[in-house]
Amino acid sequence: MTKTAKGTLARVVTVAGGRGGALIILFLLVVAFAIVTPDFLTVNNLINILRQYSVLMILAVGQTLVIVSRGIDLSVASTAALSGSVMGVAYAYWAWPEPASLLVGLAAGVAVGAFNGFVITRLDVPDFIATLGTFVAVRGIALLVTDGLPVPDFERAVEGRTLPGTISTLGVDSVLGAPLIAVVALVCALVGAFILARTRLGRSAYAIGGNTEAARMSGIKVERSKMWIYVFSGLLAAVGGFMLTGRQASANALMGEGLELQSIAAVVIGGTNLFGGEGRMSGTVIGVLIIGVLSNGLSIAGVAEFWQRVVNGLIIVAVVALDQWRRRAARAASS
Amino acid sequence: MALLKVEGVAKSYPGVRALAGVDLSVDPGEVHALLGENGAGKSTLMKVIAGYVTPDAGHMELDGLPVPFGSPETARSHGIGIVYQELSLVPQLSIAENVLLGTWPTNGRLIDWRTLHTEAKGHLERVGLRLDPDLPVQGLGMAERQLVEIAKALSSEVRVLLLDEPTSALSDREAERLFELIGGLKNSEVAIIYVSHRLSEVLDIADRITVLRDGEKVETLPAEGVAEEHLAQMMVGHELSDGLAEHASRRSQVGAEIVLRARGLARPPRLRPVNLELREGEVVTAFGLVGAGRTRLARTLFGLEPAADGSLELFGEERRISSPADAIAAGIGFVSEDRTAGLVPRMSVANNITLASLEDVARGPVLDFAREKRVAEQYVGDLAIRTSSLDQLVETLSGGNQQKVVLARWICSRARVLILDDPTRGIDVGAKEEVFGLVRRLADDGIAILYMTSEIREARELGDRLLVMSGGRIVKEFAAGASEEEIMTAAGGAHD
Repeated sequence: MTKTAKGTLARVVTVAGGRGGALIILFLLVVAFAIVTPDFLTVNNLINILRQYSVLMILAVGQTLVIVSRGIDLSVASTAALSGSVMGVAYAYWAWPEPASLLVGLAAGVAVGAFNGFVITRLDVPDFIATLGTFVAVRGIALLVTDGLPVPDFERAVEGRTLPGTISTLGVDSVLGAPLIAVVALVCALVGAFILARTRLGRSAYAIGGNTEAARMSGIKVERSKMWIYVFSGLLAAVGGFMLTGRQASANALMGEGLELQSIAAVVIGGTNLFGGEGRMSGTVIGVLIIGVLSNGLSIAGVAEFWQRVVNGLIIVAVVALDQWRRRAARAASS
Repeated sequence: MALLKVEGVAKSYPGVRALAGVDLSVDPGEVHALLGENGAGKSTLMKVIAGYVTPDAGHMELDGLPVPFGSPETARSHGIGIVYQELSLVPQLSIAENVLLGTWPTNGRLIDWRTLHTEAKGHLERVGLRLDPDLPVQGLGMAERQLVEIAKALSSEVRVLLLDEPTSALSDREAERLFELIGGLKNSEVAIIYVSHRLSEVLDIADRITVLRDGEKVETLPAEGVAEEHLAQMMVGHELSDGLAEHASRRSQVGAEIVLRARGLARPPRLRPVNLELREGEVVTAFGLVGAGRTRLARTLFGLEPAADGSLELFGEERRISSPADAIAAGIGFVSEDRTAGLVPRMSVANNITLASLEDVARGPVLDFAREKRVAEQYVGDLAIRTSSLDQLVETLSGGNQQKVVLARWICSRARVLILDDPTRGIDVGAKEEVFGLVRRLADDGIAILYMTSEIREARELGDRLLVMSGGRIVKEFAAGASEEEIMTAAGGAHD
């Protein structure tokens, strides 16, 4: 490549970088799949994508806040499973009233988040290790709570009890043609975007992620902020667990496996710096859509499941490599 | 005949002309100083010579033979070595491993530790560092690390040595040691290109001086008989204000109220019991050599390393300061010697300014962007921070402007006591003068200022009172006007 052509290309990538880059990739994927298979670009299929990837969206919203503040939350999928299971068990086996069952499910998510926050900020355990611990342990608790069986289980359920009405509704209903869970996910994304961009907590997250020492020296209560961020992530994971439960009309301790890594991938594909300090919620939304469109499109196009995994993995590497190249180009231009 | 010759070197980045056809020639055994403000192109020129930056035009000769640009390996194989401003050592590895980093001797496939040890030891002796080569680098002080860095550069056959701000982290005494080493290298016909902000030291050690401004060469002149003021003017392109004269006019404005009083403040073993009083509108400078406890005192007052003993009163009220948040609530602000420690580099200028006063630019938990913008605009104008917009990332500002952003943050948070720890370290002359002016102006507004420095001139020029620190305590107090000799003697440093 000639020098000027390379320079021009670098400029284009710089301008289109971050979210822009991800948006271009999303657009290209949609166009490519639309050409390859007529079944892709149909209303039914697009709604299907929204329904399938709403849970990932919710988890990725919490993950974005965590990653912007230079943390990482590996426990989100386990927490979702625990919250869904606890909620189901409370309602079906313990015959708790519906509101109490929902509350105890949310409380489970908040508790895991608070535990993560406590271990990280008070016991000085690195974020990765702390949440790796809860990633494993919380699944264990979910297995204990459910005896390893799907909930509700007709032998154990109190007469006539299955799942709370709200949860079933969440799983199947639509609002103006859009799946209800997609609407909930969108609302959560908007709330997350507001917290990140417009509140003191969000600003603190950027400062902590960008330079923890500087944040501390500016009087930002680093520990308290991180605590809130992990609690928020746990709460969203709980909502995600409800949505998973509603969609499959059943909860189980092993549901949602792998979503923690997908949520991190979505955040990073969306242009958020994995090492904190930079990122936006809109990027994460695009990141989730890229993952969704890619998996769905490959399935429809008849690519075998095993190959899909390979492609999914490689696309993460490719997007981030592109992003790194953009950063280098931007840095060279400014130094 | 010139050993190294660089001609017509030009380098542009989009929107910036870093170098516009610069010539430089260095003789064997010559110390050639490169002067210029930040952004003048010194670092770019150094990087071009060392092969880290490929210029758009120009050529380079060593001993009359052309050397291709753009490869650090090529430069190194031609005997061009560089010591960076930011130290590039691996803290976990031993001194010996660092000295020979990348060229570890092997026998077959395994590292030959014995040869590594003895070879490194030889290089260390050359720079006069008498330490066990097997010690890990992380236990060393800044000066020792600098020497290890130089030993590393000398470990290959070096004919041209580039030193980028080698004394910025050193105390006066440690710098002396470095100069002795440079003298030794001169005798062995090594050519040295030396970048520094300290004009007096440049005049002491350089044979010739090249001044750069805005990517162009202003002049190359012999160092002998040049006045500091003349160099400073060439660098900034205009005359500098007379710091001392301005200072005399404001000394009478120190208020009566004691705003900060420390009694027996201590954090052994690095900080021994310290008594300290600061008055409204007063500038107190604290001078000390490296390791004297200046930074310790600053960090303790600001709650970064809470005191183990003693008491602290602010505005007549006893306060416990165990975190920066406590200190800020009590009206204290802190500018650290390391600019990068206080700023969030990839945040905007505006966001960095308001970072310590988010509650003032928010309604409850929600930020009020309009108010934040107004506040930031005011301080950018007030402190003359040179930035293209409020949204510019703070990492792209020059060192002096970055330091002004940190100062703006504390004015914004309405700090009444400012602790400045060597705030002008590594920033250029023009920006230094501006920071001095700002410090005086803030004092005129009634802010009490404790100014830590390792440069005796700054301490004398700026302080209404001058404290000398040594061994973790305040050993002596002087009124303004004390002589350099008196101060240096109190600090326990040899001065000649």
